[in-house]
Amino acid sequence: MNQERLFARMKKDGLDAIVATMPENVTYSSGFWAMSQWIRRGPQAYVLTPGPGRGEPAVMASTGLIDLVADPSVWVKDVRRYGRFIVDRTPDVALGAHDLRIEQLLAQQEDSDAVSCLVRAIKDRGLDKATIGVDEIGILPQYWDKLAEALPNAKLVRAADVFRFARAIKTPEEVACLRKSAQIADKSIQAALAVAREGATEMDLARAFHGTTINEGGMPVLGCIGFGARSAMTNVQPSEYALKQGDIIRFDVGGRYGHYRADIARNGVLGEPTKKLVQYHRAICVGLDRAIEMIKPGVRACDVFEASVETVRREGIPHYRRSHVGHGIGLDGYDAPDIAPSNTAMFEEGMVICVETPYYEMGFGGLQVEDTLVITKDGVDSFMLSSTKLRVV
Amino acid sequence: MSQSADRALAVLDLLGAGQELGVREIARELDLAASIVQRMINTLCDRGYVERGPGGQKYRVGYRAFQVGRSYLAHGDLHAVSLPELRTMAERDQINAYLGVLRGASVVYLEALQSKGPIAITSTQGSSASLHSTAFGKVLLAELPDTEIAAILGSEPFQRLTPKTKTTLDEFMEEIREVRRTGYAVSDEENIEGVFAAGAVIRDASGQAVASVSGAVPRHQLHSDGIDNLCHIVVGAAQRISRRLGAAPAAMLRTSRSALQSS
Repeated sequence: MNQERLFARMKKDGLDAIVATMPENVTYSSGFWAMSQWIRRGPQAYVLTPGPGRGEPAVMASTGLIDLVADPSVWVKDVRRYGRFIVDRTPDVALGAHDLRIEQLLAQQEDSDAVSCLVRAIKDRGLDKATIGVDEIGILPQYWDKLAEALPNAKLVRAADVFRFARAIKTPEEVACLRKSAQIADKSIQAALAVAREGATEMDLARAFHGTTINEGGMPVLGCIGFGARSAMTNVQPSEYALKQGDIIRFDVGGRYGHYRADIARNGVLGEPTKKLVQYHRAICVGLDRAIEMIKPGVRACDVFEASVETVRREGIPHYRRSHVGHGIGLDGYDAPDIAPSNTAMFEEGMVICVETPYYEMGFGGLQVEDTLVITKDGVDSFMLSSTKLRVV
Repeated sequence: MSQSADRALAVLDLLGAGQELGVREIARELDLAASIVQRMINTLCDRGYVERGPGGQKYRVGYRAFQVGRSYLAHGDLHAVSLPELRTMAERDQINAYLGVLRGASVVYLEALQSKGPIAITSTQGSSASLHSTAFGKVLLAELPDTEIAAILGSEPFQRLTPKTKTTLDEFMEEIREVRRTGYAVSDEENIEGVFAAGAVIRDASGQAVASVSGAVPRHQLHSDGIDNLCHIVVGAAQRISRRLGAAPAAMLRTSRSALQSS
């Protein structure tokens, strides 16, 4: 967690404390991977982070997630649980460190529900009259109301943006995870292209892709792999469509590594590409080059957007249009900043971003190159293992 | 094979084509990760082999690549290799020094350095001289089969340049046999009246005669010791130049034995 940046923004916004509620922010501010919250909608897990000098952070977890919240990767010491969950133990057997921590947490008082648990943590820190930022994305509306009712003297303000702001600048540990994540995706594309031949299906490539991701230590998430005219479908999901001569192969893919996302794109073609394909692919590559060459601290996102789109137009797709040419990436697939025409914010050192110049044309196909990189003090450091070259298979 | 050396050289090859290129263009061209290319470019820049173009974003070949490339001439360029030897002849030994190559039925001056001595014999770079009357022409002809020599020299009598010029094939071939034996040739007022010259061939790595060097002085300054000394200097210069061109000692043997005989 980038605590310095989080606290700076909390101070600016007048927040005495902040509560994480969405899965990414819970993991971000505690190390707690609240599985049920990640894979379902509705389960509540919170992390209370008081500002400097206002007390220690606390995690509020369902008893059902007791083993995950007892995991050594959770750095917040004050863990509170709510709800009933029965776990028996064999008597007179020595437990390992992880189990001992579970036993210790089970021995603590349990609260009836997530909000009561959070309210008690807030009151313990004397924050019941404070201004508290609450990440509005993960908390159910009825729980927000209940929280406001239980803290009549506190001021609750929406604060998902505060987390988004803090998350935009990565710590060195986060950069390492994101680099690995991107590189796993890159290797997985190469593995998928290795099985591409006439008659191979999109699913064949998807299996090779995701299999490699798992073998390399990642977890599959995004796997848009489309052939031929199907590649023009933005979110193409692998089907039994079989590859034939001249087909484009578009990848827009990336899993997770250490909970951190990957999102990269590359293209291949079976057999000799047409003149149009070569020209269009080159244009999006040069547009991407232009964007990446420009990016460094102090440069505005909107200026990079304009230059990139303009370059693609000039280099071979005269009608090229886009709503953005990239975005940040972290625990969330779309962290700040957006590289969009409306974003006048400047790039900063430590941001990890995906830069992309996709092009979709129904009846022809989709082409997309997307690289992930970290912004350094005077430029960028790319995570990619492969070039953006069109792979002829 | 060293992969990084191979990749760095591929980058230089690409930039050597003359166009300025960005890191990502190079990466795509060589199908390498941009980060790998960036690190290579950084190293090549630090060492001066690559430099940023005027825009600052693209790269081109750097001054060190030029310097290193230029040094190739020291191996392969006859002229550059010969020049220091010719200078020594002209400046230290006070001999007019010439470098010639066989072109058609003439010997062409690649270099002509006037001696620092009181009398200079002028010839111009690029001009040509007769093969049958000059020392550096004779040594080049001596490398060829007799029939080819006859064909090159053409019909008799050969052009008379001075009273001493040999104008018949028999006369000339007799001298050629002597040149083949000794490894050097002389022109005793046969090309220009009052000028004595000695010549020897320059061989390349394959042992082929690629050029010849000659030294000329005013005849009246010479006595018999002077002739031997001139021949010794010329043969020595030809051997050193040959060695820098990669000629094996075996290829120079004939010249070297004759040098011993002459001294």
